[in-house]
This record gives sequence, structure tokens and C-alpha cells, in this order.
Amino acid sequence: MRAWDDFVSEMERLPLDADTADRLLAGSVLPEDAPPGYAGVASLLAAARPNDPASWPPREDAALESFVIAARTSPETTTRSPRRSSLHRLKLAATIATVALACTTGLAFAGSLPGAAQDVASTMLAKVGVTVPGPNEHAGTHPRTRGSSSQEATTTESTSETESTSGKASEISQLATTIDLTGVEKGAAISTLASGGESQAGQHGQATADHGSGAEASSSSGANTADAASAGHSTAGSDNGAAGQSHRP
Amino acid sequence: MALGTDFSPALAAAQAGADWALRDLYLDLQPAMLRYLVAQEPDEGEDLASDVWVDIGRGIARFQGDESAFRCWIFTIARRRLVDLRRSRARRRTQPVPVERLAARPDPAEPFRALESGQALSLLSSLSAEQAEVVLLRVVAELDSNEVALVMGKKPGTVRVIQKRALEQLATLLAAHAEGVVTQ
Repeated sequence: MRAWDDFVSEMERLPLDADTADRLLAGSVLPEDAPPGYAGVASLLAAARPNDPASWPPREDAALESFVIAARTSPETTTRSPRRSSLHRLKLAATIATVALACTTGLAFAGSLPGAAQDVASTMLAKVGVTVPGPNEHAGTHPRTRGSSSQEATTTESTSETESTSGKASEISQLATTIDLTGVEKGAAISTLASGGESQAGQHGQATADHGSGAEASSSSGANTADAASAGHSTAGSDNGAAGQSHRP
Repeated sequence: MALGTDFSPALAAAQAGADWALRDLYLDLQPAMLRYLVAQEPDEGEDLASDVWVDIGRGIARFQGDESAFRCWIFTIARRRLVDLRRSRARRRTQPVPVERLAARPDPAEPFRALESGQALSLLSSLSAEQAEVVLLRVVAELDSNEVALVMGKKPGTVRVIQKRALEQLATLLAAHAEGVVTQ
């Protein structure tokens, strides 16, 4: 038999299945037991395998010393770090959510939630068939102060007052934006309307006029006294009166 | 090559810093790790192994598991060191190699009948990087395919496909070389 016959027979390889490949790599197949064409592979793997430590002895050099030093200087505790696991956090979050839900539901049953929250809770629990008080269950006859209160107020006596207030507000608003009146007159008109006629704003202008006429009257009475004292020769009061008139605004 | 029943006491003692235990673990695992690293990085393998042992020393106090898990752990560290080295080399883009070292490399046309260990590892390095890594972890680190998958972050089925193709590639390579030897 010639030497090359052996190689020719090894070249006729059969397909390698996964299990055989696994056994070859695990070293459980000797070269002589290997499938055709894989005897050389089995020999190569056996040579690469560190069966004989003496063939590649580890050098007792700085690597071992570094290993020992690193092992001794590292923290020697084997306890787990105090970080909470994600499962623990999940449990904590679920517990908090459950407690919050229970408290909210309890408050909703008691009707103690704030108006908007009670309204939402009532609506949502009604969908699952649970009836809880609405936000206005304890309100009695008092009107709601949010939402569409002006519409509901028409059914009670107090609504007329509310309506009139609302109407007055709109009148004041219209008066404030009008251009028919300006200055003091406009302010006086708004004040009078807002106070229901009790305001005397703007009356100072008339008072000034009265004062002016008062001065005129005083001046004329003074002139009469001067005339009486001088037997008609006095001219007092005539110019003053004119001067007084000239000073009138 | 495995400590077997002696592993647990050795690990506990090593975690407490006992000299003998650290030495036993080192002597048990260093040959395989050195082969694994040198086969893939002939010039940097020994330095890498030193770095890996420092990492092991820093983390051994926190390790929990059996001997198989310990082997997986240290080869995972070794592989990450290898990946780090290759990344940094890719950034440097140069790798000076002494000429005498190139001359000492084995001739690829050498007959395979009397393979030395170093030559076998050199031939394994002619595979693709992924195939060589799987074969080295299987043969040198003596991990099974599931453990190799764990170390490499791949699925066990993927590892089995890679190792099967690696052996077929090796068979083709050996046959081609053998044919070249016969025709000479």
C-alpha cells in the first residue's frame, strides 16, 4: 500500500453531522475512530488540547503575583450589594398603587373627594356598576359655583339675584366701553350704576358751581351793605362780582 | 484538569485570600487560558493573561457558582480582554512585529502527522476568527457548546453550526496540505 492511498481515502469525506462534530470537539472520538476524512482533524484537536500540562507549563511569574495581590486587596465580602432588585421594586410599586386605589375608592364612597375628582370617580365607578355619590350630593339647595351654574340658577329664587347681578355686570361693561361719555361723567355714571344709585361720584362739579354762585351772593350782599353805609356812593361789589365771575371756571 | 470536588473549598479559601487556593486555581486554569489567548494573539497572549488574572482577583470575592460556572466566568473575562485589545489595535492601525518572530512562525505546508501543540494552535488560527474562537473555547477551555454560547453571547444552535463548519474547514485545509505533501 502506498502512502498516498491513505490520503486519498481521507479526502473522500462524508458529510459531518452536528453530533459527530460535537463529539470530536469534546475529545471523545479518537483519530482512528473518526469518520473518513476527519482523522487529521481529530489528531489536530488532540494536539491542541491541554492534556499534558507539562507541554505548556504556566510560568509562575508576575501574573500569579498580580492575581494574589488583586484577590487580597479586593473587598472580601461575598454578600450581595444592597441594591434593591427589580422584582422588589415592582412589588413595592404594585403595593403603593393598590393602597392608593383603595384609599381613593374609599374616599369616593364617602363622597369626600374634591368636586372634580369625585365627579371623575363617580363616572368611572358607574361604568363598572358601582354607585358612589356625585360631587353635588351634599350640596343641598346651594347652587353649583362651577360649570353651567347660570343655567341652573333660573329655577331658584336666588337665581334672579344672580341674573340681575349678571345683567348689571354686562350693563357696566357696556357703559365702560361706550364712547358717549368721557372722563368724570363716565366714571360717575359707572359708579352710580354699580352702587345702585347710592354713589355721589361726580357731584363735586355741581358743588363747585354752587360755590361759585355762593360767592356771587356774598359779593352782592356785601355790595348792598357798602351802598347802605356810603349812602349810594360806594361802587364796591360791582367789580368784585365781575372779578368773581371772571374767576369762575 | 479540573479540581472537581476540591473546587468548592478552594474557591472559598481563595475568596478569603488563602495563598494555596489562589495558586491552585491559577495552576489549574492558566494553561488553558494561555493557550486560548496565545492562539488568537501570539504576541499579546501572555500580557492579556496577566490582565485577566488581575480581573479575576478583583472579582473572585463576589463570584458564586460551581466549577463549570467559574470556567465560563474566567473565559468570558478573557474574551472581553481580547475584544478590547482588538478594538484598541483597530484604532492604532499598526502592529509592529519583529522580523525574527515572523521567521519563527510554522510553515503552513508542514506535515500534520506529528503535530506539536503550538503548531496545532497555529493551524486553528487559520480559521475565521469566529470559528477559531469557538474551537478554542471547546477544545482548549474545555467548555461545552452551551457554555461557549454563554461566553460568546450567542445562541447554542448558532455555536453548533459554527463548530461544524469549522471542522469541515479544518478537514478541507488538512486534506489540501496532505495532497500537497504527497505530490511533492
